Amino acid sequence: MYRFHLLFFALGFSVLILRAVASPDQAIVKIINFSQQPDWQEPWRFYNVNQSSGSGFVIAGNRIMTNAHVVSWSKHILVHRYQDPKPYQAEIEYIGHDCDLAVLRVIEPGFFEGIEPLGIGQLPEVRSTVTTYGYPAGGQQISYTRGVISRIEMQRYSHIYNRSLLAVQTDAAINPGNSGGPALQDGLVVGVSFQGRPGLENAGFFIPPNIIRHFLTDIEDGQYDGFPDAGLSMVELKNPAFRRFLGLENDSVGARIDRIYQPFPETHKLLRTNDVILKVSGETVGSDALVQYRGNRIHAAFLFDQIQHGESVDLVIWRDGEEKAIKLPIYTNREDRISGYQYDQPPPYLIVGGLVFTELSADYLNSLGRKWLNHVSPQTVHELLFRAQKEEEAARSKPVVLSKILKHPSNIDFSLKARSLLKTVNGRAIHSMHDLDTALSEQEGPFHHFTFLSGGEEALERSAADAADLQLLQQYNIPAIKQLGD
Amino acid sequence: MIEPFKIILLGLLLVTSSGAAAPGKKSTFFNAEASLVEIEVTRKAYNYSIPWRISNQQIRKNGIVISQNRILTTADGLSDQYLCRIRKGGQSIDYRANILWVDYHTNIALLDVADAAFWKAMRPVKLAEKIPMNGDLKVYRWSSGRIESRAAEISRLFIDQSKTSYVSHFTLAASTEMNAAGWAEVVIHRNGLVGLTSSASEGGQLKILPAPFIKRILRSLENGDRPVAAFFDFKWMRGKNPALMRYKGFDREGTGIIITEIGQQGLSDNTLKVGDILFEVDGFPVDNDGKYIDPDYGRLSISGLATRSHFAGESIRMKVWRERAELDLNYLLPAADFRKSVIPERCYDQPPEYYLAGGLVFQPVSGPLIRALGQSTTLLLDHYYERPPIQEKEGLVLLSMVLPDTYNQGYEYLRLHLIDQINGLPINNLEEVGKALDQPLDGYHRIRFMSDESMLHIVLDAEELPAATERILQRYRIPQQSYIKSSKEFSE
Repeated sequence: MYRFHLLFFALGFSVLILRAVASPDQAIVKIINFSQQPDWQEPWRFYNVNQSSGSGFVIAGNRIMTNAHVVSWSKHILVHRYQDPKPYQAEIEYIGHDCDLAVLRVIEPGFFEGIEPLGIGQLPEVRSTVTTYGYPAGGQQISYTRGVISRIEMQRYSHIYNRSLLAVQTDAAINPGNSGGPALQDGLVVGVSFQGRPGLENAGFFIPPNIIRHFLTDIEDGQYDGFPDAGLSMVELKNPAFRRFLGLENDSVGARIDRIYQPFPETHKLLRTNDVILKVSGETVGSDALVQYRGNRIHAAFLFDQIQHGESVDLVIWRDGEEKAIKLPIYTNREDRISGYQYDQPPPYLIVGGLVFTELSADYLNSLGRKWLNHVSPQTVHELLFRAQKEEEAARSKPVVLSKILKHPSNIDFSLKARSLLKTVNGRAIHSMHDLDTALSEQEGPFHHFTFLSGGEEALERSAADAADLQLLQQYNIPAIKQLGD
Repeated sequence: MIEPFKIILLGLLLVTSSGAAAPGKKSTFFNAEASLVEIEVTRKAYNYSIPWRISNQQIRKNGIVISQNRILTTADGLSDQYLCRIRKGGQSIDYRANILWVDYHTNIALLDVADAAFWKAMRPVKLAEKIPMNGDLKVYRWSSGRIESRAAEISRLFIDQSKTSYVSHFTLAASTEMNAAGWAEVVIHRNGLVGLTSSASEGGQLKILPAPFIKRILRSLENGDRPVAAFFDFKWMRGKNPALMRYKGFDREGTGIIITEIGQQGLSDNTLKVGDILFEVDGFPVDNDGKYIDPDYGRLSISGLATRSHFAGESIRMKVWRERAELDLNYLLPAADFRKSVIPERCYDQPPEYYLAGGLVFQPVSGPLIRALGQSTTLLLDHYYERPPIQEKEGLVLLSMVLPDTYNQGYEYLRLHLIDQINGLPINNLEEVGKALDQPLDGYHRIRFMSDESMLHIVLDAEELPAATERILQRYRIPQQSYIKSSKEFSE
């Protein structure tokens, strides 16, 4: 009898130990985000408050990790512990829109009590099994799905759209609401669920530990800089004639630099087109521009993503018939923000005589509807998406678009339509909202004169424009005549 | 005793059998069976996505006898024809027809039938001197061996772009219940030919090429001239904004348009300048909507003044306001010519051009190619189609596809890349591609794409190129390496 009790106690104890070590449920949280997005065509306005939910998990340092897209444009964030009805208010501590990750802190004390934070593991093996945790479809109960790692490769991160980083594909169901939840293997986080891909059945993607660690290291200094970019177009070098032309053996090693984008002055200083990259961070680059990494072949750009902003990546290149070692400092590119989706800051605008000008951006085009391509000229798309292929000044420019005309007697007869791209104002070339502001404020004559890339032009009488703006601000409840941002 | 209705029948028979082609005999009523013909056009149809692929296509349209040995129809559908047959009323005989003259800019063609038997009992129709502005019309065509006629109601007369060109001209709009029209159905008003249909919308709105416009061109042709349609190679915007006009110091209220672009079609002589206020064309004051008052037809767009009473090569007077002063200009009307555009909008009577080298297929960028690509076009091609680089290039050449082979290994996935240079030589057309490939650099061909393409360079072996090309032609069963319409042919 005694022995039986002892055995029972031991089993019970072991069950308790197992729960404390192996069950991560306590660390998985449900996040409710009340967000408000700006209207990119009338940038002083915000849409209705939207409620959405996602998942997150507790990591070391009393932080909750989740996806950036779970908490974007937030006005109010609530988190729920596992099987605890009490909502806790949280706020964003750091957010990385390029890697779709964020960490939250909880304002109320006591939230983290009794929760064992989850550790971050290593990049999982292809064909290994993972379990995803989360609160899909806004359910109240935690959901678990087991799946197999199908492949690991660079993917476009749809939250920002103009970045591709490493992502892991699994056949575990990842549904809306799963976002931000962990994928676990042996009790460690090997990914953060973040996106699916239309047209791919039974396929979800999660953000691998390499990206999570990069993010966590980045914020250690108290600010998030983001993933650096070398500005290189690294392409396959498989054609035997091209290899001979560059003095290379036909041995399947080396990817060619086809182009160096703008604005990347350090890269332009140290590298040239038709340099061949043989090694990145000590890893041999194949002629398919891929490197071998933990049993996978991944685009060599992945190795650049292991470097922090302002640090250098070690390259071995082939140039003029010999190998060269290069230490290439790489930086976060902040000039391409308009070609990706933007967050946190409402769009800039400036109103003059009822003409509403704003920055041309991916968000602006997106706001025109699903068939936005039918609503703007190919030239407009070119001005936004092909800047990096132009000269440095153009790559740094932020084109200004006539977003809207608030009708008023002073502009009622304008022939030009909204969505035209601005070229000059009062004789000054316009490359940014600040250029526009300066051109208007420095004008002394009786007119403001505008020319547009389409060849069209318009003018406003300054006094009439000023009077119109006063009326229009009142009429449309516009808080200010301009908002230029940083 | 002959009953009245029999007298009428007898009369009809007499007129019909009298042979209207005989000069001097003019009848005043329209007899469709004696004037309207059905034209069967057999033509080569090209696939611009696979430029060496040729199939055929047959279309049926209408024509109308306008004089001895002259059948009038629209130019639409005649491009690349190799067999034209004509059938007339009451007979099952197909007569072989020749195209005497075709002009795609004005969308007019003249046909002849050599067989004298065809002309027997055919009666020409008189072209109306003036376009009616209102009232009922009758539309006729051949349909399944019978004449179909429907009423049509005039909607308006306006200036529209030719269906087969960028040229603008008078166009009559009318509504009808006739389905699937637009193939040169004849439009009759008071027994005179008002025009030929050029297109029709699903809602039954007809666009009609009006007879007076046709007549002026045919008259010029009869005089031995070579009438070439003119085109205003500039774009403009309305001068509605009073502040803008005041900014320019122009104080004639309600008048003038502003020039916004010049030379998009490569025809301009730069008489006008961007920013000019154009306020008089050919003696007609231009209002701030870009309209003038036509003495015959009322308020119309100035675009039509290039073809209203002039041909290419003539000068017309224009008045502009430039740099705060009035200026009298003589605008030399340029001839509409697709080949002068960086990207020709249309390509008639010629197969698609291409040049194949080492599996790389080069094609000139053209309207038909862009349309053939449809949704699979690229953002960059779309951009250049809208904004051709007129300062930098005379034409654009595209690497449209790569036919995979060991020779072009590594480039198999390249498609729709615009060429800038080959072996250091600028490329504007396929002839230049061929010439550049005759001049390799140190044993290699270096191809450079346009600076905004996703890839900038590729290199190919020069020595292996001829053998690779031959091998690829055989493997992919391509009958010939290239089709290039030489510049000599162009100038003919």
